Amino acid sequence: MTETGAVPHPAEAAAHPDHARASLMPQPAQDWQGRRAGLVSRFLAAALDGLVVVALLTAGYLTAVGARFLLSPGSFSFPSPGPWFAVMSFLGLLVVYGTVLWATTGRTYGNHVMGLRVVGAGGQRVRWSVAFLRALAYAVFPLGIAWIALSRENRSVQDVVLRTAVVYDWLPYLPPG
Amino acid sequence: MHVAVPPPSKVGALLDGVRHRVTGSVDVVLSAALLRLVDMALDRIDLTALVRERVRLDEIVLDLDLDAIVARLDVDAIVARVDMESVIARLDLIELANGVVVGIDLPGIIRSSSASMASEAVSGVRIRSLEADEAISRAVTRWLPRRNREHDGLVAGVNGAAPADDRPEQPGR
Repeated sequence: MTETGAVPHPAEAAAHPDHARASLMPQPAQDWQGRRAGLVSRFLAAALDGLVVVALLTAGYLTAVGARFLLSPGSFSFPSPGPWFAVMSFLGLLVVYGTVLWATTGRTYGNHVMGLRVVGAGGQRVRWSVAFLRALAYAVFPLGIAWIALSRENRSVQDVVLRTAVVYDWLPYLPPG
Repeated sequence: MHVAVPPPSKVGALLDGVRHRVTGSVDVVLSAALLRLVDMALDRIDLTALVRERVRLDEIVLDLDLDAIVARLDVDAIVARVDMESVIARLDLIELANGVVVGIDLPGIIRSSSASMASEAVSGVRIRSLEADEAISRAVTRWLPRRNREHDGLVAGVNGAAPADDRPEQPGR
């Protein structure tokens, strides 16, 4: 990939080479689409994802508690899993969450809110294996995101290792192909 | 024997009369013969084919002042004589509309304007974050001169990716 060489997507090039695509996106944002996102956007997206996973875990815990109560209301007590279990559940769910969403839509909920998308070096959707390794790497070493501030290409450590990129992409879908 | 010879002026006038009469008759006969001849010739000749073969129509048409001809036409009158309803009835408007919808990617516009597209508030948060990203990038560039901001660029193939040259110094509002 060249940093400055924009290769138009084949589908777009074939359809309307000179036809400006009608869009309701604000003009300042249009100029930034497809560029590597910086630290603040990505940190906020990651924080949102953390909250989403915590919410999912809480929902799962409450569901389990409810089921336990329904099955044996007489001997019901709140289960108290240890902190180790809670942390491992959080990290495990984070990996599943990141893997599935990056490999399917290219964006987690946090990415979606911040208008970001995870893509491969050529702008394509990342493979399942890459998505899994990326999610695992973020779960194990979240500080890798800090490298964005120092990287001249706004890459986190995970991006450098896995050759992925996070770009501003406010459009709801990638062009087909 | 004496023959009365008319005076020279009278002879001339007499000869003129005879000549007129003879030439007039010859003219009539020749004209009729010529017309008949031309008629017969035209009957035997395929004039259209001859023109096609011998005449350079393109050059003639090029010499025509078509603008002047068109200027003399009353287009309004011509259009008034056209039965527009029958023209419209012959058009496949549905197919035409489908073509327009596909051409402007109307489904894409609707998608991007409805559920999946950012609301105004989210849009504001995104723009603010984008500005913060850029501010941090500028600050780090100042502290670390080796960091070359020309390279924090574009990923090919992503929606709406604009060439790096068009990139603004910072997002305006």
